[in-house]
Amino acid sequence: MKKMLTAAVVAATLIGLTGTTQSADKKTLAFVVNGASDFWKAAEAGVKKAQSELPNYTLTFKYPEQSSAAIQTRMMDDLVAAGVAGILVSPVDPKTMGDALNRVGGQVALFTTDSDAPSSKRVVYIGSSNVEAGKQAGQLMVKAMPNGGKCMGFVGLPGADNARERIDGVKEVIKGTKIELVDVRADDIDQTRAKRNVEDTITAHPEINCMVGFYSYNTPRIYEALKEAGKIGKVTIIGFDEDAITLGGVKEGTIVGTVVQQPYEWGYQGMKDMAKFLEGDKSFVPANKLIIIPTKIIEKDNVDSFWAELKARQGKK
Amino acid sequence: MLKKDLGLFLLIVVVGVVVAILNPRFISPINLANTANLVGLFGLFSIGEGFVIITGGIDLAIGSMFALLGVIFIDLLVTWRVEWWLAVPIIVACGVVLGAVHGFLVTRLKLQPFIVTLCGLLIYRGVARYYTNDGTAGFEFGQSFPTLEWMTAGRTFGVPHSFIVFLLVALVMGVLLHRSVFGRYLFAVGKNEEAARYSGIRTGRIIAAAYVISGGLAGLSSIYLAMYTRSISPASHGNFYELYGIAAAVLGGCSLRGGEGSILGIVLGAILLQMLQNLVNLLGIPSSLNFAVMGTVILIGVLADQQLTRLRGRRRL
Repeated sequence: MKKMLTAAVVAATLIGLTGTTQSADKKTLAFVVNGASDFWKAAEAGVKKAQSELPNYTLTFKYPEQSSAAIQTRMMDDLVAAGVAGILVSPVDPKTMGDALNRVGGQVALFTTDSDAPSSKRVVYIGSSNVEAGKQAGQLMVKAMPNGGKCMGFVGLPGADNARERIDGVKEVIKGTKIELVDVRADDIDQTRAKRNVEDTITAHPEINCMVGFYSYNTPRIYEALKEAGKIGKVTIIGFDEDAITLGGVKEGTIVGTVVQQPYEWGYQGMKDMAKFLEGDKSFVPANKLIIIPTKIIEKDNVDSFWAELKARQGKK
Repeated sequence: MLKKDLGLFLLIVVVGVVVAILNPRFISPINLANTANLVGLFGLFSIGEGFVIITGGIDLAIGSMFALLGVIFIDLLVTWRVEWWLAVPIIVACGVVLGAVHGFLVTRLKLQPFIVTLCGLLIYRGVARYYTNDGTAGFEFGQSFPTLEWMTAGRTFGVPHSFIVFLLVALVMGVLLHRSVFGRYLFAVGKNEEAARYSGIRTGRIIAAAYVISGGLAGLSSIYLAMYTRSISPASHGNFYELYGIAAAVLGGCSLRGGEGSILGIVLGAILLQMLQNLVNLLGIPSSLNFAVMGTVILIGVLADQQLTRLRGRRRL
């Protein structure tokens, strides 16, 4: 009896927690991200914008509780079971998730974003090209250091596709110039280690005069470690993504520039396109099934307008 | 100094000498200061973990407490504009309360420490992520708290204040553990709780006190960690840091069966762990091997310790 009571209480709590009721006549489209971070807030804003233009659909935005392929797969299976019509997903690990993506893609409209799974049954990829983003960062480096330089890169997961492609893009542009990317140090997305990697680089390689932060939190940690070591301004910093410290540094002139993606557009265009697709319009799908939303270079002259727009989209003051 | 601690000290010296020969920058003052800073950050909570392990328990919730207390701390300072001298004791008090809850559940409700703190690990991480809505809590660009920064991240004659605080805490805790009645009782309870109870020790209170100490120190180090990274993404901040604490305690001669350990050992253990991280960067070992290096050295250390103890035991016969 006691056990049944407990079970009843748990069940009641769970029902209370879910809260969302699905109406039968509206189709549901889901945006599933690869993990929790501020980065996705802008995509969420894009999805909200799309919702206001798609009254016949219910759009949901889902964060898996952990950044793991298994948990994300379970979340997508649950969504399919709950009857969603389409899923736009940023797969945690596209290489090993082939089966799961095909299973989902076989039942509902599946779009990928952020990182692609080209061999799966996805309809289309909509997102950035990280190689192009890397090339843009490389251009920033070439422009900032016409006389060459020795650079150290910092990254969370060097094996992940987005990291590898960004690094490749940088290398492609700096090839043949006097700029050299000596090494890329990894921290497994542990910010304490990210900062200590920078500190240790300052100690071990005093000749390094340029640092590149490949993940969003790497650039702020570079900025802080250099500042504490009294070397800010003496080392060229180039970053990716739009952390507040990174943008502050760009504004201040101590960070050369940062290359940003447009997750807002992924969320907005992705959802609009998915609705079109479900209504039978497939004309927007290009032959190579890649809709590339270009990355942008943010430098001192355009940082203010970008920052204001970003704050509005992330719902911050 | 116990013979056990001497062995660990020798291991540190040997590793230090080898690394210094391979890269003399290892013993440069700036590198020693950087490493000392991290020893302070990781050592603080390792001492707390040591107390719990000596009672025969374990505290798995520490890493998640860093995420939860860290985001609350930054929120207090940034959003609520609370004065730092008020925010610091609030956070330490929160740590103490969480530790007291663990102690209560372990001693009064007779739950196993592993389960209690495992649930803590899950709950605090989840609450922290809910609290920030899966976003990142961080200071704004250029925001500074001069006195707080001086106390946490500041340095005097190159010696980081986090390291000084760590040494002070270690000294106080060393007296408490090795020179006080409470410390005697703690070892007695850890060796054989029942025997301790029959000899008139209020074992429940002793064990609960160990969890309170661990919680309080975790609260304190969450402030130091937050001031080091200056930005907290609750999904990843402090992930697995409890394992650094457990590793330092075990390296330092604490037995997971309880009843053994010393503060000096834990201090040395914390030093060795951070030296290992440092040498990976300084010797240019691929970052992917970081954990493998750490695991190998811990294994060698524990193995050597075991063999020496057996050797001594045989000689006594």
